[in-house]
Formats: sequence, structure tokens, C-alpha cells
Amino acid sequence: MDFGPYLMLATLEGAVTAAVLALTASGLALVFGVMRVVNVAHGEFFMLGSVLAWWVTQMVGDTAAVGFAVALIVVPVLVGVLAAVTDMTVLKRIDYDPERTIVATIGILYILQQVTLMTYGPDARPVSPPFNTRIALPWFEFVDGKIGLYWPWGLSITSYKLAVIGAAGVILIALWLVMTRSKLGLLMRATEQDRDMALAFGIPVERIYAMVFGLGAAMAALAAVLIVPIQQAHYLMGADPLLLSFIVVIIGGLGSFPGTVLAALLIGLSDGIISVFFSPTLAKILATLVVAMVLVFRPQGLFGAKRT
Amino acid sequence: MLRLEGVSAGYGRAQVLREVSFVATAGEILCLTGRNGAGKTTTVKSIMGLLPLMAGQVTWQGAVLSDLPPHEVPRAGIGYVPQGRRLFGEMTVAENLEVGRLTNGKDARVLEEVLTLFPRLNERYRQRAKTLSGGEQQMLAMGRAMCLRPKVLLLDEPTEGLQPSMITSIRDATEQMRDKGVAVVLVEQRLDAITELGDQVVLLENGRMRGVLTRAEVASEPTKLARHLGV
Repeated sequence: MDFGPYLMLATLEGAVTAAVLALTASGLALVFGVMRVVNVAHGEFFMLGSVLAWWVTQMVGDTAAVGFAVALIVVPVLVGVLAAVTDMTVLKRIDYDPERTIVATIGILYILQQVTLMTYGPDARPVSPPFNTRIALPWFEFVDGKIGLYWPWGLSITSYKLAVIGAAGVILIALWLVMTRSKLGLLMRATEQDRDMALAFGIPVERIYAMVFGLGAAMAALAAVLIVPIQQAHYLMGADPLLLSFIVVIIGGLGSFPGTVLAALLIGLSDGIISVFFSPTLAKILATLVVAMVLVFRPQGLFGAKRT
Repeated sequence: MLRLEGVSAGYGRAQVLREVSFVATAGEILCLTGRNGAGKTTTVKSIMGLLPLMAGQVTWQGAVLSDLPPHEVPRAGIGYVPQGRRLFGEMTVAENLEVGRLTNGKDARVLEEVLTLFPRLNERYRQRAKTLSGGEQQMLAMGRAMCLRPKVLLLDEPTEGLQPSMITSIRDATEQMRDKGVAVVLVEQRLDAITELGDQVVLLENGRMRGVLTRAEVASEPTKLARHLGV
């Protein structure tokens, strides 16, 4: 394959990674932004989402599309409720103290991971995509000074991957609308900006915290349900999304939603392109290097506000 | 009546207030005054439930406010204009007022009243709070608290750092609230404001009460108040 089609293929693969990463990282950014909690267990909520997606599709046992549709609705709710309960029983008790919440979420990480290992087992298990038509993509060439289209061998993408990109876009727009246009978003933003003033105006801050922690985890679970037909469910699959989400959130600016989405695009696309042309390891090395540069030259991230 | 009985409070283990007691009555302005560090802000924070009490209690119309979770205190009709305004700076004027109306959501008229009282807020309605001038921010802080339709209004140095025309505007709004039957607790260090507005003046020093003066006593013994404030 020529360089052009090859680059297009890599970009599309990167777009899938970026889409899922944007969803996962948005959850992490939301939790940090509103609660100032660094949720080290975020990757495990992602893992739980994929494992539960497998479980739900097995339970429903109808066609792949029905099982997947049920998983898409039920799994984020289940994971969100579990996270909200975790918030109320663990994080609230330690008064959301920044240092202790890090230790607590590390504990939650191991509990979720080991319980999954004990119940689900160590195997990676596939979930069938609801649809998976291979779509051949055209490229162009100049013949006798005119542009002509042709279909290079191997330049294709599945309809499911395109659907993942589209679904992620729709979900991110919905999240943005909730944050900026709804009453719940107003309560979350008020809590984010000044916890005491939020309380002084009747906002039940602890309930908002539980909701935000649940919503953050549900976002990770939703991303996992979308990606599990491509990646397979495994009890150790939470580490990579966690690392990449932290990278994205730091580059985008802690708590900044537009920054998170743009950084996810940057990291996802570069991850896809570098992985295809060179190696996935190099992609991770470069992403980590970018984080180091951002921390040195712009610690608040590309779109984050300076905190005093 | 808002009643504080033997209230002690502080930050962590550091006790600031020691057995503070007073009564704020509807339709009156109670000035809480003292030098820096006397415990004025700590007192209003304690009333709002933002600081846990070490001893004593705060009651409003017989209900014990200090037993409520902090977010229930404004629902009881207690409005708060904090020192330094503490607006939601990234939000617009409209959104700040919307937060003020959260416990009072069905009352559409209150927004009209606030915007009539502070027309500048109407002009800046879609502007972010952090971009307003100091005086406009103070109007917004007052307006946000008034959106709650408070029965008790706690004002913590609302005219600090403002130009004279803004000070007049804020004082007028404070008097309007009093005239509507609201019990106003005003933290103030300006002698002229205390003399003009205070129906009662509570003197605080090092977290303890040093006395309560009536309006008549302030008028007849102005030196006592001036001495207390160190001016």
C-alpha cells in the first residue's frame, strides 16, 4: 500500500482510539474537576464495564445486537451506581482529603481487579459487535492530469469502528450540553468552583459528589462497552486507559472539558499513526514525553486555568 | 428571631469563638463588629453551618439550625453575602442568580426585583461574573443572596473596598431588606455604617463578646464604639 492510503488507515485507527479515550478521560476530568479527587481506580471502572458487557451479552443470549444494546444501557448504570456507593462509603468517610483519596482509590483498584479475577477468571473473552460490515475506502490518484478514485487493497474500516467514533461524538456533545445547559450541570459547576458557597446556596454537595463520581465511572464503562467488541474483556485491561487518561487530562488541563477532548484527539490520533508506522511502544513513549514537557513548561495544561 | 446561644467554634482544633450569644430580630439590622481577627466572619460561617460548632447552638424561629446539614441552612431562609463576594466567577451573572434561586425555584418575581434594584446586573446579564467590576460583583453577591428571599441575611463586610457610590447602593439595598422584615446581621468595621444602620451592635474581641449596644447607646456614647474599633 502507498503512503497516503496507509496514513488514512492509521488516522482512522487513531480516531477510534481517540474517541474511546475522550470518553474515558472525560470521566476522569469530571471527577477531578468537581471533586478534586485523583481517581486511580478509574481504569478499573473501565475494565469492569467491559467485563460486565461480556456478562450481559452472555446473559441476554439473543442476537449480538440485542445483547450489545442491553449492555450499552445497563452496564454504565451498574458501574455508575457501584461508583456512587463507593463514594458514599469510602471517599465521603475520609472527607475527600486529596492525599487519602489517592490511597483509597488505589485500594479500590486492587479490590475491583482481584474480585474480577476471582469471579470472571484470567481469560480474555470476546464480545461480538452488533454489526461489522467491512467498508472499502477509496483513495485518489492523478492519471493524465485528472483526479481519479481507486480502492487500494487493504484500505478499509468496519462499520462498527465508524459507529464507535460517531457514538463517542454524540455522547461527548450530550455531556457538554448537560454540563452547560442543565440544572444538574449548574449544580456541578457551582460545586466545582466553590464548595462552601455551593453549600451556602442549598446545593447538597455530598450528593453531587456521589453523582459525579458515578457519572465519571459510567463514562469509563460506556467507553469500555463500545471498545470491547474490538479489544476483548480482560481483568487487567484497566491499566492502559488509566495511563492514557491521565496523560490526556494533564495535557488538556486538569478539569477542562474542551482541553480533555482535544488532548484525547491529539494522543489518540498520534497513538494510532505512530503505532501503525512505527510501534505502539514508541507511541506511549512519545505521549509520556509530551506530558513531561507540558508539566515543565505549562503545568496547568494546554487549556487549564492556573490554580493559586 | 435568630438566636445564638453560647456558640463556640473554630478551625480544626483552633478555637476562635468562645460562647457568643445574641439575638437578631426581624426588621432590624444587627451589626457585628470588632477588630481584625475578632471572630466576626467565624460567627457568620458558624450560623451558615460552614464551620462545626464546638459548643452552643444556633436557632431560627425555634428550629435548631446548627443540627441541620449545611445545605439545609439556606433552605430555612438564611441568605449569605460572604466577605470577598465569592461569586462563581466562571459563570454568568444569570447563572449566579440562578444558583441563588435554587432553593426558591418557582419564584420568578424575585429575579425581576433583583434586576430592578440593581439595573447594572441586567446590562451584564450574560457576562461572566469574574469580568465584572468590584462594585458590580458586590451587587451580584447581594442579588444572589436576595434571590433566596431570605428571612435572615448575613452580610460580611459588603462595602469593603468599594467606591462611595457603590457603598450607597449596597447600603440602600441593606435597608430595603430590613424594611421588608428581614433580620440583617451585618459584619462591619466602618464607624459611619454602624452608626447609621445598626439597631443593635455586638462588640467582639478575640472571639468573645464584649457587649451589646443599642442604637441609642451608640448615638450617646460614640467614643465607646470608636475605642473598641481602635479608631
